[in-house]
Amino acid sequence: MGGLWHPGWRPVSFCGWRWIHPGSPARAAERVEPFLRPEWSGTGGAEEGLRWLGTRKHCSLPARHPALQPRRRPKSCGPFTRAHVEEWRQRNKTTLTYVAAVAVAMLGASYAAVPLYRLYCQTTGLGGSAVAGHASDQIENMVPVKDRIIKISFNADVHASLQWNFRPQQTEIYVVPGETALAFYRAKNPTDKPVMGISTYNVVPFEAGQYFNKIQCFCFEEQRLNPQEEVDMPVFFYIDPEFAEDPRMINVDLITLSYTFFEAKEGHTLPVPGYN
Amino acid sequence: MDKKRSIVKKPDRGSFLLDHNSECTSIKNKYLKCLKKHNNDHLSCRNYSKEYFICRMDKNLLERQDLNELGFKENELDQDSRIKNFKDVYSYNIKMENKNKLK
Repeated sequence: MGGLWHPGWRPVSFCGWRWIHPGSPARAAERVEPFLRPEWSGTGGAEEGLRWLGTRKHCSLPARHPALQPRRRPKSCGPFTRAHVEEWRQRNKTTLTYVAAVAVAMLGASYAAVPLYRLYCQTTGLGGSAVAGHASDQIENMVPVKDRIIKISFNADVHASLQWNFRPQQTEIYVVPGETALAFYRAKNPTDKPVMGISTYNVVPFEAGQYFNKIQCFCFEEQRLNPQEEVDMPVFFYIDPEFAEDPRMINVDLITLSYTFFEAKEGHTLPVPGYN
Repeated sequence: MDKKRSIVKKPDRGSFLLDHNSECTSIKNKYLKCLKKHNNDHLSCRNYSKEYFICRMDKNLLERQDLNELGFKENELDQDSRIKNFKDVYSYNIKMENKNKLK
């Protein structure tokens, strides 16, 4: 540590700690002159020399009595003049302004991202799915995996406040992955008033849910039943052919599709997965 | 992957219009009867589900589209129930797997 402190590396700001005693270079010159070389004296040579020295060391300080002025390190000492320092200050200010502007812009962008993304989804019609246009191509070109039969069983539930009779019209159906299948549910409104219902579904086992693709159904939208009306509700779905290649699904032979109906209140919408 | 949360997806083509006037109910009943006859094997009754879609399109309950887009291929024949001779799905799958291994 001590070895690093080479005297030659003394920082510039150390200058000025040596306080040459008061006043004008003229008075100092009077004292110094006898010791200077002959050619220096005469035409105010010593004075000029000291003045030059003075501009280097005490560049911006007015001469003052040391008792009045507190002892401090002048900042604008050494090879950097006040102009330099001012320029640095100016540059620092502009840099800081830029940095602050960038930070505020980032904050604004994060707030703006939500409606912008929604707009993007609406225009490109992606609707929440990461890959566009894979559904209809896939159905046309799907090859059923004939060797693997899956039993789909159906379940129907109704929330306590909804008085509909809701049930599946077939207990189970056997399909293979890659085959589109149709299934029916039935709902009856036994009351004397029209009732609006909205439904959601889930698939058990839930890892199989990712392969269960519904082409069309009756979920997530309000369905209205008039008094004493009974109506068929179809579900058109398929199991993705990749189901047969997933090692986790090797023991899955039964998938249960379960629908639940709730009463739809005025202006109440179920949070639909993805964007509408 | 978040195992605790079940995956619920929006349907690709939205919601079926409700058949308030029971216009296609007769075809639906034929389909269900066929299913019962063939032990609920879907492939045996695919013709009826095709007819159901045609009925819906005719009665404006469904927008017109090519049946190929719905996964119905041109030359599908009604087959007998695949599952009829097996007591459950598991035994069918094992049999098929063994048959493929022998090939």
